[in-house]
Amino acid sequence: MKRPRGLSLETRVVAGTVVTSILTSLLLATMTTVFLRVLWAGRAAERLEVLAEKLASQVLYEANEHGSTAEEGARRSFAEATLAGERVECWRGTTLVAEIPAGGERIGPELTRSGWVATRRSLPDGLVLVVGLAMKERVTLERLVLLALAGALPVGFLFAVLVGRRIARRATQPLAKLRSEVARLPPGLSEIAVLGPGAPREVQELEAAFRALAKRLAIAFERETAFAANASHELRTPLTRMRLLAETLGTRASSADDRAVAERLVVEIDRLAELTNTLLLLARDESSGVPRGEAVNLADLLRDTAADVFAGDARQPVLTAEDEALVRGDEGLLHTAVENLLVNARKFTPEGRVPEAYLERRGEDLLLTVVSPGVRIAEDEKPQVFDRFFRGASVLSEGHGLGLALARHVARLHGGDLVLEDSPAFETRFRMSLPGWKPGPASREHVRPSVSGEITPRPAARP
Amino acid sequence: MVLVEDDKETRSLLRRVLEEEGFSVLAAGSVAQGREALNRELPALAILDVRLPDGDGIALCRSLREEGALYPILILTSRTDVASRVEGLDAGADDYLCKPFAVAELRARLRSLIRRQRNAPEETIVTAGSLTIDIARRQVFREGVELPLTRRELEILERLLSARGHVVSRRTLLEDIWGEESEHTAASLEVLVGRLRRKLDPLGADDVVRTIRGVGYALGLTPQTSGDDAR
Repeated sequence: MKRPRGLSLETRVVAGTVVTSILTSLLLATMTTVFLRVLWAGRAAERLEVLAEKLASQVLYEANEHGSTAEEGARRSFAEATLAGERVECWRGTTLVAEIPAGGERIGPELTRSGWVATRRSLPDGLVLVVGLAMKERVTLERLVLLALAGALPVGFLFAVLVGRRIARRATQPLAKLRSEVARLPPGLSEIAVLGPGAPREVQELEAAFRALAKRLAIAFERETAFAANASHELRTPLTRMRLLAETLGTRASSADDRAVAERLVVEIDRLAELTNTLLLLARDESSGVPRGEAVNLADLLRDTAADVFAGDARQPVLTAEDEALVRGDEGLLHTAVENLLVNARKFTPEGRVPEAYLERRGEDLLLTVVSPGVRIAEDEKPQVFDRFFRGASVLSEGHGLGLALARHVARLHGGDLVLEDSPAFETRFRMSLPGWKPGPASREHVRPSVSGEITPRPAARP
Repeated sequence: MVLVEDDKETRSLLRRVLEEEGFSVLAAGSVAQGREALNRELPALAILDVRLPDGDGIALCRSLREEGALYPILILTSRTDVASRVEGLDAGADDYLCKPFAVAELRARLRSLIRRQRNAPEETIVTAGSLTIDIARRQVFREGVELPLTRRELEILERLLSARGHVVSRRTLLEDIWGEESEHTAASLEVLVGRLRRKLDPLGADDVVRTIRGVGYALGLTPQTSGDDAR
């Protein structure tokens, strides 16, 4: 079967899983960062409050102890303080009085500088104490987290591919099962039940839809079969009557002329019956196949049919065939197909040239090639040669233009085909392929030996 | 003989043809009438149409056989495919003719049927050693594997089988199977018997199909019915 274009479900699911996993990790990283920032900011603010409180009271204590100004107290306590990266400033108005520098630029009395978490306290003498922590301090932790995430990404990617494939396999398995079941469903059969209740619901629904479709097809198929049977009966009843009448007329005819007319009548009736058969056969669906065929020796069929078709002809075709070449099928139909090919070859092969037919094996198939040398089908007519009622522009002889259509139909009913082959030589080559004979399925429940016995080699002679 | 055919015109035409052949004909137009006719008189032969207003000829044929009818039955049908032929033969019909038919062919078939009248209900499935022969379905199995026998080969086998080991002359075979005896058909018969022999008995050990020189052929294989072989 030709593969349709488009990405497979499996690829799609895997790609989807991978994209989802990447997006999820990015989201996770962002969320972690935000969470860490909030957490850090909260804890930093708490720490700064405590520090600010402690420094403010220290400044007051130093000032009291030494009886100096608050400004002096601040300077003194700042000199003694040991801090973990915080910046401390002491402002009077817009003038910096004292500081413990850290983290670059100043925060300022109004805490307006961004990039800092800070708090302030008012001191006596119009002093303002500012304590802050630069935000870049927190970066080390975040970097660690991001680094870990980046490291996990390839692992996650691999994991996503594996998990995605597994999911896809499990999801597509019932689909594949359903597909193969539907593909080999014979016409007229509406039983599709391969999936258990464990299959995904959508696939089960698909199966149900297929079941409904198959049922409708089966009904249509039955209707078609019934129609063919009715049409066949309705057409053959008058034909039977006519033929009996014509034959009766022939035997009762008093003159040779009358007899000749009656015989012509019989010939015409037979032709009509033949056409009826052909049309009914062509009306049959190609996929319906041949019900339980019998073994047919194509080699014998070819030889016998050729003998009939070329009877009384000065040109006898060249036949190449082994002794026995078996196919399973309907002998009558195959005979018609081979006959049509040979009649064509006889009709179109020009005087002085001899038609040929080869029967050969290729693998399990049998190939019948019928060659008409010295004649070629015009390029623009090639696509139409198998069309029903098609007759080539150069064809003046009689015929309905159904021969090749019917031959191809028969080949396809048998699981084979008929094609017009390209040939470098000036000739026309039709090639019919048919699957070789295989033993039927061993479903022999209706055959139960009613009699049992032994092969007993009889005594040599019997009177 | 009894003729069951629903089309009135065909029935009367056929009846005339058959009477000209020397048969006395009881004609019926339905399953019910056919049964009545068959009960009234034991026929030498019955011709049944498949499509009848109150049933079908194949079912009628099957029930007649089940009731023990031994006379030959020919089925007339408007279907041509293998499946319907098998169906008819499976139901116990002896022959099968497709409409429209030539009167000459009908005559030939009837003559052949009368000649090989059955004298006992034949088993449709015969087992002999590793061979299983399903006559009605026209299938032969060797050790459970279906053998590719063509229609003609099966006809020869069937003909030999019904002779129950007795010799069947070449002439009878040619007439029954090809309807004529000619150089061509005689050669074909020989070829087909050769193939049949090879397929039934690839080792050539059992002498399944024996050639009786100058006379014909016989089946060297006896299906033994359990018990009632005292015929």
